[in-house]
Amino acid sequence: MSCLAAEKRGIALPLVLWVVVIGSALLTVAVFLIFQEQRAGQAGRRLVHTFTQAEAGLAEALATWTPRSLNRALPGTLDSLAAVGSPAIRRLNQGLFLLTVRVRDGATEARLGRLVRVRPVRLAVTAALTSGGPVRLESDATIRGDDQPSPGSADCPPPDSAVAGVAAPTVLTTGSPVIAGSPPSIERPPADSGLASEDLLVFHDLASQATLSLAGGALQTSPATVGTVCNPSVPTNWGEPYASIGPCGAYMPIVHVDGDLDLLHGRGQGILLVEGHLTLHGPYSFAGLIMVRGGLDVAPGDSAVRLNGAVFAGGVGSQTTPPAVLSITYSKCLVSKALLSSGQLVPLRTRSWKALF
Amino acid sequence: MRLVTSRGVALVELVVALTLSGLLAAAAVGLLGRTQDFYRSAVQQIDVSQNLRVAGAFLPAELRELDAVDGDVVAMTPTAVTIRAARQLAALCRPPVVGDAPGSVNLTLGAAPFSALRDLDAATDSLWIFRDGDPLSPEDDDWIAAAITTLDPDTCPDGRAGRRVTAFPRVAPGLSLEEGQVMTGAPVLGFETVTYRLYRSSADRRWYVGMETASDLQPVLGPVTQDGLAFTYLDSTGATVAEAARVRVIEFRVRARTVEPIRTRDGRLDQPLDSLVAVVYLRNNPRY
Repeated sequence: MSCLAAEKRGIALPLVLWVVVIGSALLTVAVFLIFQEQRAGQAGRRLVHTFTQAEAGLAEALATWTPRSLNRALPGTLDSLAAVGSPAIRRLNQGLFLLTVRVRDGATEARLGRLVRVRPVRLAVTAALTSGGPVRLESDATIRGDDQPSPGSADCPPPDSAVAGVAAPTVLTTGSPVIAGSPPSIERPPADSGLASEDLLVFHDLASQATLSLAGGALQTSPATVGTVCNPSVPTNWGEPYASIGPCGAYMPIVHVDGDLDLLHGRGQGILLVEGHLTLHGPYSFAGLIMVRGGLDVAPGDSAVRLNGAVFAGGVGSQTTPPAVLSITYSKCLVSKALLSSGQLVPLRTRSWKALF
Repeated sequence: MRLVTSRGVALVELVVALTLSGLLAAAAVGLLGRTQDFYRSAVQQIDVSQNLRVAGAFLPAELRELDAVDGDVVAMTPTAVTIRAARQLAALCRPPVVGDAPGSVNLTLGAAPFSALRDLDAATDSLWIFRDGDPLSPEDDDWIAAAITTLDPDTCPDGRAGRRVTAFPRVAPGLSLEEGQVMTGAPVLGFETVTYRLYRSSADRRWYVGMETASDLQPVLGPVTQDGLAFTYLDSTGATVAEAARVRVIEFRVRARTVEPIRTRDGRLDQPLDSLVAVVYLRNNPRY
């Protein structure tokens, strides 16, 4: 009996081993296949997921972008936006941005970019000085409608054709102020609200996008930096009109003043919107666009007030005792640069979409 | 008596056991063979699937970025497409200046590009340079194609490392890259002209989808079938077009067989075929 039992065990063992080997082989193949398919499926799903998320992030960032937040962004700086994938936006120059988004899912990553630009608020500039009321100029005033490139900037296109020097219902002159342009002056109907209705619409549009909102009063403006970096959080920092490659050279804020404003000596650039009356005390320089619903006066004195770009006002007077030195020079380049702080962000017309490596 | 009986039983048992073992062994060998066939066929099919997945990921990534209206689809046939494939994205750190050679301009790019598949290569790459024109009008924006000849180290005005590129822009008469047409910060895209087509490898005599450049032809995926790559070019209405500038959608089909024959369910040896069809909408055709 004991001999028989030993033989039976000898047959059963190889049988069990065969079954185990065959079963293991089958199981291994099945598990291998399952894992392969699962990995491939997961990878495909992640690829699609990250890509669609990245595209959604770009679209959301574009849709929710506000110029108010990005007017403070300087060329070369990187801001992050609240949207799917936390997109980052880099200002390439005054009007161009690179929007990038990176979405990760496990080991899969999608990086997409969008080259976008500002579609600025449209403003028709027909004269260096456009006034809804009478303009009174003394002999030390110079108004030029021929296009002058921005001093110190290599980024301006060639001068465009000249606009008129003054566009106003009436121009009263004392002495012999210089009024040049093509033509030197044009007559336009008076505007009850200071600015013509189409210019008033632009005024409100720009005011709604203001970088700085101020109550009014007397201000002395000049560039402010932290170390070598422009500091846009200082309300009297309105950029640097004299050094376009300096720290604040590219900072062109939209400043909205809800009242009367006295600008004491200093400098600034961008877009200045004044609901009330603007009085300029020389020496003062501003590059860009000035729109004043009330009157614009230049305080008497020997120091010059130089405005490069374009000026819209409800009326203009340069005071006479002693004669104020006022210079308004049209610059399409400066008006363009200033307006590029406004408007909406749109993808470039072509080759906007970028897969980033 | 007991011993004789025991021997007789042992013999019968041995015969039965041997028969059973033989049957089991035959079944096991058959099963192992089946398992091996199954494994081999699975591996082969996974290879085919992987190939198709590569096609589904790689080709759309190259095609999506094209602007067919502006000439990014250089040539197109039902079995091959020649495109200007984007490779780098950088920005000018100073406006272009007139170069020494007639018709040339010197561009200074930031040395660290925003994105690059590989380094810019004067031998194979060309540039698209963004021209803003009137900065207030997005409608007049365009890209100027430019061949490049030399790449030299340079320094940007802000002190960052830069790279000076001698470029020969192809501009229409009366237009130029200087004088404010192209500004600091303008994006510059590096591109390479490549052809995606079928070719037969001289090494293994199999067909592959290859990427052909001016100097090189390398496999991208495969092996595929002899008719393993087919393109269809569609316009915005979904109609097939023959003119490159009207292409809005590129549909492609990749067909691949297993490299080795595998046993099918009915026991035959075969090289099963699988295929992938993808529809790629070109993202960069003009929007307005």
